[in-house]
Amino acid sequence: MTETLLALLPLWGAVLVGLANFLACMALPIPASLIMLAAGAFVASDDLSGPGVWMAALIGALAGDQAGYLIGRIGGPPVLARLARRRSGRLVTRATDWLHMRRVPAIFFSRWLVSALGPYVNIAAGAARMGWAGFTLPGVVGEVIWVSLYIGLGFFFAADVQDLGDTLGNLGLALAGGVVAVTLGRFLWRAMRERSE
Amino acid sequence: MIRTVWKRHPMLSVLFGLALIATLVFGVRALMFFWTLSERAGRPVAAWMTPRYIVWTYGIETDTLARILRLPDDDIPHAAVGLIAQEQGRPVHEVMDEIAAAVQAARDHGE
Repeated sequence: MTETLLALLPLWGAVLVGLANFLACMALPIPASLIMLAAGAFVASDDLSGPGVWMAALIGALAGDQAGYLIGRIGGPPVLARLARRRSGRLVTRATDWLHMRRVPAIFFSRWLVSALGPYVNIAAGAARMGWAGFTLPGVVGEVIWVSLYIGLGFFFAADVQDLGDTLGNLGLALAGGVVAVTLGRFLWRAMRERSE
Repeated sequence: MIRTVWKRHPMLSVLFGLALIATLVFGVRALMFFWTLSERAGRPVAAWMTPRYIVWTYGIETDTLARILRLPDDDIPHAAVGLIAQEQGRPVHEVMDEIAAAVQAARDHGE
């Protein structure tokens, strides 16, 4: 699929970049980062227009974030309410409180540094009834960095886009795994200490 | 103590273990791919690349590539070479082999 998408990129250009980011921000398995790297490379080789690609990438990512947030906002509260009545109720409350407390870094860093977690943070933010402006503002700043970083890297390292995509893709998943491990590890550690006290 | 946490939060404990494994596996994979970044010389041309991208990246002459693609060198489309070959009804792998040979010749000439 990746090779086909890359082959269609010079023809579809900004539309494909925007669509890929939109779908990827809704947790669909689309190689959006690699597509942005390749788009940056095609800008360098004069096959695509830089401003058009950048704008489409940003609009697609922001639209995907908003769609994920809306899905969480509509579908999330009934699920959270049902979970809160079960044994895991306290856990759900703690997770929701944690997301509200760490709103800015959670939204901002999950746009670009740990972008693999971004789609899930969108849904969680909507489900936790995070305010729209509080979700959107750090989201816009983070997406500007994500889009500029990947298109820029593709532009400056045009010859290495595939290897760079593989490296950054795996690095992103490793970082996402690390963040999840640290967050869960801290929670389990606290639970262990509370139990022993 | 660990057994107590495992009993109280089995799902979170499994997720914690999986997250640690994922960090390790993807971290090692990232390092391996980062290492291949330095192996630039052996990277083959691919069907998704455009003629301009190949000229820009592999340093072959535009007219050489235009001749392989049977195109006028002042009217090269912004399309993947694989799609250009398909539209001409030519086997993609044969066209890619010709381009790869031209890239190799350009490298040999540059050395």
